[in-house]
Order: sequence, then C-alpha cells, then structure tokens
Amino acid sequence: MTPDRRLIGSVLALSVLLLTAAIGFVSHTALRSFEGELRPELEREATVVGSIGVQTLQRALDLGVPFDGLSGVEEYLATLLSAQPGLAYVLLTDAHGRVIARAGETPATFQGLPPGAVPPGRGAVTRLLGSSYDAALPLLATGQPVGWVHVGIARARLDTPLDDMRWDVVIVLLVVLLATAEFLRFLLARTVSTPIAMVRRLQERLAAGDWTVRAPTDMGAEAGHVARHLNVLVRRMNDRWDRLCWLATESSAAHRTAAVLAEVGGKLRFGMASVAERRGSDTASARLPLFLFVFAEQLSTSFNPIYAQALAGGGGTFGAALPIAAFVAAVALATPWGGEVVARRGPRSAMMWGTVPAALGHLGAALAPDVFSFAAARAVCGAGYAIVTIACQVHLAQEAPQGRVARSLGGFTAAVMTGAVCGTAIGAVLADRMGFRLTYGASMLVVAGIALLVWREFAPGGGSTAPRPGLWRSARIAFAEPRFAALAVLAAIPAKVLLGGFIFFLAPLELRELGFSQAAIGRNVMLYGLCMLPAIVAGAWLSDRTGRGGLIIAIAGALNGVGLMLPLWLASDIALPGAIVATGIAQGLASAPMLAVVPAIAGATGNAAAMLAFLRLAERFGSVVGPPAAAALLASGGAGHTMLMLGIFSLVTAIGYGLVLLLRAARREEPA
Amino acid sequence: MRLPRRPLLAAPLLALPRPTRAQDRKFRIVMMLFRGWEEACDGFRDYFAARRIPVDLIVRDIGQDLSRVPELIAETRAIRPDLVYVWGTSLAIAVLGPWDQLDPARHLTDFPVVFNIVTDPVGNRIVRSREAPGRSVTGTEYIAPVDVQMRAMARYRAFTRVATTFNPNERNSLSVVRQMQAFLGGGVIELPVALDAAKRPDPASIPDVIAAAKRAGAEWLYIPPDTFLNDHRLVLTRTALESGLPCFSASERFVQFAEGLAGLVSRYYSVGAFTAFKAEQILREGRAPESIPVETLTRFSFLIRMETARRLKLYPPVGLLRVAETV
Amino acid sequence: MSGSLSFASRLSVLLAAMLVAGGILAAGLNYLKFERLLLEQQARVLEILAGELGVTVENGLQLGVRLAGVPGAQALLERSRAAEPLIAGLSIVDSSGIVLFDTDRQNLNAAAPEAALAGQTGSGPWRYRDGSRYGVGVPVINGFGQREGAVLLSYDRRSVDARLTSVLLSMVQATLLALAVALPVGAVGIHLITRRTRRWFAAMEAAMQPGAPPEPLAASLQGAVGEASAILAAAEHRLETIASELPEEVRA
Repeated sequence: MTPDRRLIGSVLALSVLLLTAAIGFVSHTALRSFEGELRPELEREATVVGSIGVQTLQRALDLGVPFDGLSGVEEYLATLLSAQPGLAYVLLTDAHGRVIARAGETPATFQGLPPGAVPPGRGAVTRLLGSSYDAALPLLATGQPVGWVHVGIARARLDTPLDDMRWDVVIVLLVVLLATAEFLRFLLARTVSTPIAMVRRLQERLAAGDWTVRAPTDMGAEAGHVARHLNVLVRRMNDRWDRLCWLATESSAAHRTAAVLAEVGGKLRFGMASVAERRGSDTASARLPLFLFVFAEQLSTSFNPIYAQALAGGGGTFGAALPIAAFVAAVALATPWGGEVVARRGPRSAMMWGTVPAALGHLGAALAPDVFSFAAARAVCGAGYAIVTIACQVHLAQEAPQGRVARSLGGFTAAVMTGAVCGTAIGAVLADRMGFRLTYGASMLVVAGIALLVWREFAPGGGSTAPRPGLWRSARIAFAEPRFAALAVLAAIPAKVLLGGFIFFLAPLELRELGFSQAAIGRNVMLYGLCMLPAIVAGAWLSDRTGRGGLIIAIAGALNGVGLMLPLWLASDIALPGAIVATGIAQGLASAPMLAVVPAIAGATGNAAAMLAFLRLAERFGSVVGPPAAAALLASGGAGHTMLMLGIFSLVTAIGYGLVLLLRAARREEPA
Repeated sequence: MRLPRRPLLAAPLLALPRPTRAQDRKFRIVMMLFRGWEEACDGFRDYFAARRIPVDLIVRDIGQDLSRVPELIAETRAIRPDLVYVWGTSLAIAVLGPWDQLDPARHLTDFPVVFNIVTDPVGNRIVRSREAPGRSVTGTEYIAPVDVQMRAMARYRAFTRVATTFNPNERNSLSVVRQMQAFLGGGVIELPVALDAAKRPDPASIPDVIAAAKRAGAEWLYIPPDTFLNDHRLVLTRTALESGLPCFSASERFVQFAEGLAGLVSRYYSVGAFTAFKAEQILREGRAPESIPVETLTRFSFLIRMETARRLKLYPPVGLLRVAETV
Repeated sequence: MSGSLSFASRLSVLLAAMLVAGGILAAGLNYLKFERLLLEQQARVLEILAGELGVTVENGLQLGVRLAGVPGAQALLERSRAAEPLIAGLSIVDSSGIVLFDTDRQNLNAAAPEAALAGQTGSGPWRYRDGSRYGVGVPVINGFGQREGAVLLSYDRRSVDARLTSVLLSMVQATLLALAVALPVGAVGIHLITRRTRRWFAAMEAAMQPGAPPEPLAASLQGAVGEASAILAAAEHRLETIASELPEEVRA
C-alpha cells in the first residue's frame, strides 16, 4: 500500500472541517450582531412614520376636533401605510389601548399600551410584539395622552437580507473548499504522489538489476532529499563496478576476469543514464492553472450582459450581446494560432504568454468607458483564454500516461467546470459588494498570480518545430464525413447557441428583470455548472454501458429544448432557473458521448485529433452566433419569446439528428 | 451697372453678433386692469422677479369704466409692447372680443395677450376652446372645474344629494349648474333665488331656499361664484348653518368672510404667478399663444372653517385636514 | 518555497492561507453588505422626513406666496432639525439653487452646492453626496406643477461610521479568534496525518545510507541494494582470488 493513498482524502477532510468551522463561526457571529445593529434602525423608521401620523392627528385635535370626532382615520392610516413600503401595520388606539382604527395586518397578539403609560419625553415607546417591532407615539390633549399611534415593522423584513448573507456565506465556503481541493491536489501531486511513484519505479528497476537510473534533482521537500540520496547510492554502486572493471583489466588472466564480469553483467547493469528519470505523470499540475484561469474568467459571467447593457446606455440589446460575441469570436479565431504557439514553444511559455492578453483584457474591461472598448477588451481576453486553455490541454495530454488520455481529458473538463462554478458564484457576490469594475480587477489579479505560479512551478520546454498538416485539408476531410457533419451542425452548434444565447446572455438579464439581486443571479447561473458536473459523469457512464452515444446526444438536445420551453407552463421565476438546470443536465449528458463518438466516426480516416479540433471550432461558432441571435429575438419579442424560439431550435435539431442516426442505421441494415 | 448701396451697407450690420437675448433687453408688458392692482397682479409681477426675467410693466387701470377701453387700445398700439396682460372678465370681453368675430377696429389683435382672473373664457367666447384658443390669446382660469369641486366636496363628506342656489339671471351660474347636472347625473336639487317684480333676484327668498333644500334631503349646499350671492353671503351661510346644512363654495369669500363650511379655491396670487408662467413661455421660449392651452391650477386650496365645522359637528377627515387650510 | 521545506509544512501553509482567505472573504463580504443595508436604511428614514418637510412647504405655498415668502419656513427647519439628531443641516433652495432658508444661517442667499442639486429626476426624492456630507433632496412643486425649489436635508455619517467601525472590529475579532484556533489545529492535524508518509521518506533516505540498519518500509530498496552489493562483493572477491592465483612469472 502506497504511503500516500489516503493522504489527500485525510488532508481534504481536515481542511473541510476546519474551513467550515472557521467560516461558519465568523458568519454566525456576524449575522447575530447584524440583527442587533439593524433593529434600532427599523424602530427608528417606525417612529418617524408614527410621528408623521401623530402630527396629522394632533393637528386635528388642536383645531378643536374631539378625539371621538376624528373621521377618515382609517383612510388616512391606509395612505400612510401605502406610502412607505415595508411597514406591517399602522393603527390608532385610545387612551386605554383599545384599537380604534387600523391599516395593514395587525398581529393577533397586539396589545395597546395600558392607561397609565407615561408618554416618553421624545421619540416613541418601542416594544417587540410577537413578530413585529412596534413603536407607539402619544396623542396629547391638555398634556395627557388621549390615544396612541402604533406603527409596526415586521421582523421578517430583516430576514431577506440576512438570508441573502447566509447564501453568500455558503457560496464562499463552497468556493474556498473547491479551490483548496485544487491547490491541495496540486501540492500533493508535486511533492508526494509523483515523487513516490517515481521512487517506486526506480526501486523496481534497481531490484531488476538496472543501476543506470538517475533521479531528477529539481524536486523540493523530502522527495528531493530522497532523490539526491538515491543518485549518491547509484553512483557509489557504479564506482564499485568501475573498480571491479579496473581490477579486471589490471589482471592478466583476461578471459577468466571477463567471465566474472560477464556474470555480474548478466545480473546487473551499470552506467550513467544520459537522461534523468521523468518525474512522472503530473496531470494534476495542469489542472490548477486551468482551474484558476477559468475561475478568473468566470467571475464576470453573471453580470457581463448587465454591465454591457449599462455601458451601451441601457437600451440596446445588441450592445449587450456584442462583448460576449467578441469574446467567443476571439477564442475561435485565436484557437488555431494558439495551437501553433503551444506546439512551437511548449505549454509553459504558451501559458505565460497567454496570461498577458487575458490580464490586459480584464484590466480593459474594468476601465472600459463604453461598450465598444469593453467588447475590444473581451476580445483580447478571449485570445488569451484560447492560448491558455490549449496550453493546459496540451500539457495534460503530454503528461498523461499511455491509455489514460480520456481520464485526463475528463480531468480537464472537471477543472474547467469547477472553476466555472466557483467563479460564477463568487463573482456575483463580489460584484454585489464591490461593483463590476473591481471584480474585473480581481480577475486580473488572479491571472497575474497564475503567471507567477506557472513561471515558478512548471518545467520549460516541450515545444517542437515539426511541420503539421494543413488546416483546410483536414477541415474538408472532416466535414466530408456525413456523420461528423450531422454531429457538428445538429448537435454541437445548437448546444453552444443555447449556451451563449441563453446561459451567458439572456439568463442574467432576465433574472435581473425579475428582481433578483446580483448575488442571487450568480447562484442561479452557477446552477448550470453544478448540474453539468454530475451529468457529465452520468452521460459518460451511460454511453459506455449502452454504446448508444448518438441517441443520448439526441435525447439531451430534446431535453434542452423542452427545458427552454418551461415558461409556457410555469411562472417566470421558477421557469428560468428550471431552464438553466435543464440546460446544464442536457449539455452535461451530451458532452462525453460527443467526444467519444468522434474517434468512432474518424476510425477510418484516422484523424480524430483534427476532427475534435473542428468539433470545437463548430462549438465556438455556435457560441459566437448565440448571443446576437438571442439579442435579436429579445428585441423583437421579449424574453419568453426568445426562450421559446431557442427551445424549438434545440428540439428540432435534436429530432433531426435522431432522424439522421435512424436513417444511417436503416441504410446499414438494408443490404444485409 | 451701379450696385445698390443700401443692402451692402446693411450686410455688415447683419453680420454683427446680435445682443444676447434677454440679457440686456427688457420685455415690455402693458397691464390692463379693471379695478386696480391686487394679489393676482402681485403674483404676476413677483414671478418675473423670482425667475430673474427683466420686465418693464406699463400699468393702465380703467377703474371699472369700460368706456375707456378704445383709448386704452389706441395707447397700447402706440406703445407696441411684447405682451399684453388683461385682468377681469368684462375687461377681457371688451378688449378682446369674440374669437370668431374679430374686429380690428374695436379689438386688440396685434399683440399676444394673456388674461387673468376671467371666468369661463370659452363660454364668454374669448377663446375657442381651452386646449386650442384659436387666436393669439391665452391665459388662466381661476375657478376650479366643476368636477374637481364636486370631488373635493365628496372628499369632505360623501353625498348623494346636493342642493344648489343661484341667481337665474347670471349666465355663469346657469352654466355651472348645467355642468353639475352633467357630472353628477341625478341628485342635484336646483333652487334658484326667486325673482321679484322687476326680474331682479330677491334676497328675502334666501331662507326659503335653505328650507327647501333641507326638505329635499340635501347633504350639501353648493354655492357657485355668483355676484348676487356674494353680496348676500352672510345671510345665506348663517341661515344654512342654523339649519344644519353645510355650505361648499368655489369662492373664498363664502368661507373666509362668511360662515360657509368649506371651499375649493385658487389663491389669486398663485393664479397670477401661473399667468406669468404662461407669459414666460411666450416671451422667453417664443411659443405662440395659440399653442398654449388655457388652464387652471393643478392644486387648489381647500379652505375649511373650523368654527362652522364645530357647530355643525361635521369634522373633516384627518387626511384632508393635513392639506387643507383652516380659517 | 525553497527546496528544503517539508511538504507537510507546505500543506500547513496552504491550509493556513485558505483559512485566512476564507475568513477574510466571509467577514469582508458580510460586512460590506451590512454596511450597505445600514446606510440604505438610514437614507430611507431621512427620505421620509424630507418628504414630510416638502409636503409641509408645499402646503405653505398654497397660501398664495412664493417660496421665499412661505411663513414659518425657517422655524420649521430648525424645529425639524432639533427633533432628529441624525440631521446635520436643512435648507430650502429656490429653482436656481439659491438658499432661501437654512438651519446654518451663514448659508443664506448663497448658492447651494452643485452636487446637491445634480441628482434630481422627476418629482421624487433623490440622494446626493457632497464631499463628506451626504444628503437627501425633495423637490417643491407649486400649484401649477412647476418646480419652485427643493428641500435639502444633509446628514453626516460620523455617527453611523462609529457604529460601522465597532461592528467591523467585532468581526475582525471573531475572525482572529477563529483563526487562532483553526491555524494551530490545522498545523497539528496536518503533521499528524502526514506522519506516515514522512516516515516513509525518512526511511527511504535512511536506508540509502551505507551501513544502515534494516528498515521495514524500505525493505525492497534495501533488498536490491543488498543483492547488488553482494554480487559485486562476490565478484570482487573472485577477481582478487584470480589475481592472487596468477603465477609469479606473469607478473614479472
């Protein structure tokens, strides 16, 4: 049993425990003190409203209207109540505490003040009555109270902001835990798991008699010590062999010594390896920068269109769609070029180079004065995004051990989704507290941190200048295959159109129209990522078990379409999150089968990698087209109409893809 | 060919920058008054001062003598003012004439005009309609529209039957009563004052009117702005008070200087300021009077006489008291 | 991170960093929201007060005067200010921004600050900020719908700032307390958890020293070393034997 197997689990468990306890404690004390601080403010509001009511009634009394001659009191109290939203009730009692007139919902347990109650020198008598804060002010005639005006504010008014804060704490906890997991994985992989695996490998070679090994010397911590000692040990053995050889040459009984040497040589081998043992598959270390990068990028997902709309002057929906389209277009255009950069310079250089436009893009977004400069900043960011994600993907592929490429790609997707979930959620909270521009600034800082991390922790190199096949030819070959064309056009593109048009563009805008706070918008958009993660696993499992990847893709597309048509049957504030959940599940289900189907399709021609690249390109196309299409639909018919159209589009293309599959299956069976 | 010299000389003058508008040029306004300067004219004058508009007010008071009108018109034409201000219904009718039968010889048609304190300008044919005066004349009305008054009355105390009394010779009052009928449908009890042998209203019939109103079950007595009734306001309101009948009027005199219970009135000062606001639109913004509607204030003063309320034991709702003025 | 720091220490540092980050985020974000709530609530109450004053002033206009002539306006302002300690100053300005009445008599007939009048839209109240002073403004509309001026209520946030600071301090205290407990526990926990792995590394390292005692953890390594060592030693011995068996004459 390896010494590190349970390590990550235990460390993670300890971290979860401590983080939850610490953050929970801090939040709990905070929320308790908030309620105490906010209560006097609510009482003050009740007092002020009460004093207005008292002034009016007092004027009547002063003009000679007797207390029981006061008329129209209920109407007046009702106008007072409706003028100030958030009050629970306003009522008038006589000197004995009996209610004379009321407006609003009086609690059943209401009790007026007793006859002997002394009017306070200033302000009101404030009490907590059941579930309301009550402020009572006296009406005076000849210095004695003849009645009291009571204003009540429900304690529940504090509940909404406090609940919001609790939610935000949960989000913070979730994000911190996920980020800790990524960092832990990274650190443990570097300093424990891969070194231990390497040492065991070397051990096996030594046990097999191979004393040519050389351990890498650039590791830190204990692993480095062990590596260095191992190298010393091997050198000592080699020295003994060298001495043996010298002894043999010194002797003149050549063939007998040679026999001795040969016997040793049969069991052991010596020499100095020219190249040090590889550190080992280090897929985890490509995950962390990817996670951080996507996290930084997704901080602004929940408010990009809102910010764009504000910059565009609040009116045009096209203005809001432009930056999103610019981003995805830049990613699409930069992807092939980014591939070149990575291939030539290696992942580390490419990653560092990619962070420069990304950071500049975020800075530009933070400082943008109008929607066009914002769109330009997003385009720059998109170029950086393309380069970094490709670099991480290549790094992962290079590091992955043979036969585990799929699992590594799964790790790639998982890192992206985790980063997206964390970033979206906490970005919304940050934007809510600090504003949009500062949140972009935070993105920039994280990206700068990534550059530092990569510079320090990653090995340079990995590039090559080998020539690669032309782009256009591969494209023609790929699209000539009808199954691939169907997959790209009827499944991949519609999915991304919905992603770009609905999740990234329409959902934040519409959630804001429905009155959700920025933090709540983030939580809802995050649902997409949260639902996608388990759906990816489920989709992959289903696809492997049943072998019917294509059918799953078609069903998922149909599910997505139906999900977007939810507003037909449900109220908006349930239908919208429901549609987000449906989109996440549907797209998660389809993602693994889509990737798995490609090698099967490409089987004959053998260029699965190129096909995958073109699938990605088709997806990007869908993402570029999505936001402007949604903007056009929104401008022409409103949000419900837009969702309906997008839903029908997904449904129709899914059915079309299903038909194509059926046709092919039928055609294949015919000749038989 | 010799070029005409004059246009060439004029050209450089035209090229000079004109003096900036309203900075150094005062607007000249001729104010035609019927019976002297009072609060409405104060309101008119103070508006320009408060808005820092330089004006030159040329005041001409005919002292209730309509025979002086032609000479006034001639003088005004000689002065060539930027605007003319006319106070009072009879003066306006005399100076301006009906909107569709203008006689340039007798009526003032050459300058933009604003009128103030005029009752029923449409009925008196000074303008075609309130929204479109149909001539270069606009102004303000100071009597609240009948429906607004009825609503105000209901706000104090809801009613189904209201009695109204008036001088049958006074065309304005007849028009008001017709509007009441139109707005309220049924429930209006018309009680005109009796005419004596000389076809003049008889003040002795006022107590009978009150008695008739009580018998018919009226909840309010509405008093239109009627000169005869104004002259006998004390008798009217006192009798009504003693009979327990609340009085509502459109003129403050019945409430402030008599014993009426309540009224919805425009303060003359505010109306004068409103008229100046319309004048500003003509003078400063260059709008044509034809395009400026004749309007009343949007917010009136609700007067309540607390002594009467106490004696009638009919107290106003507290919400109303908040915005009303007590006298 | 230099090469000599144990991985357990690095893990502890990481955990500590995450605890600190999490604590700061939780405390900071909650505090910011609370601050916003408190200030919002305060501004709301003051808006109610300013609105009331506006209605009173408008009622005064109904008497048939201009804004500057509203009777009792100065007294009204001073009374209202005395009744609510939160208010720093009250003033009534006319439509061109000149101060007509003010609780601070020095400001009479001066121009109101630009920032105060900048935010007004339509007929509702607005909020403004003038340097360190915050304020609420309410328009005064006359009987024919024209804006005759505004009521400006300014308040300073010093009293609220004191409360905000005390809340912030208590939250900082709570965070520090949580960290003071969590950090040592985390460090100890990590060291306990990583004991086995560290022992393995230490055993490996020790096993590679010459003449080391047998280590159960490094058994396979030591086995390999021992085997190779034995083979080499045997070969060495045989070579020496061969060398010693050689006849004297070859050496000559």
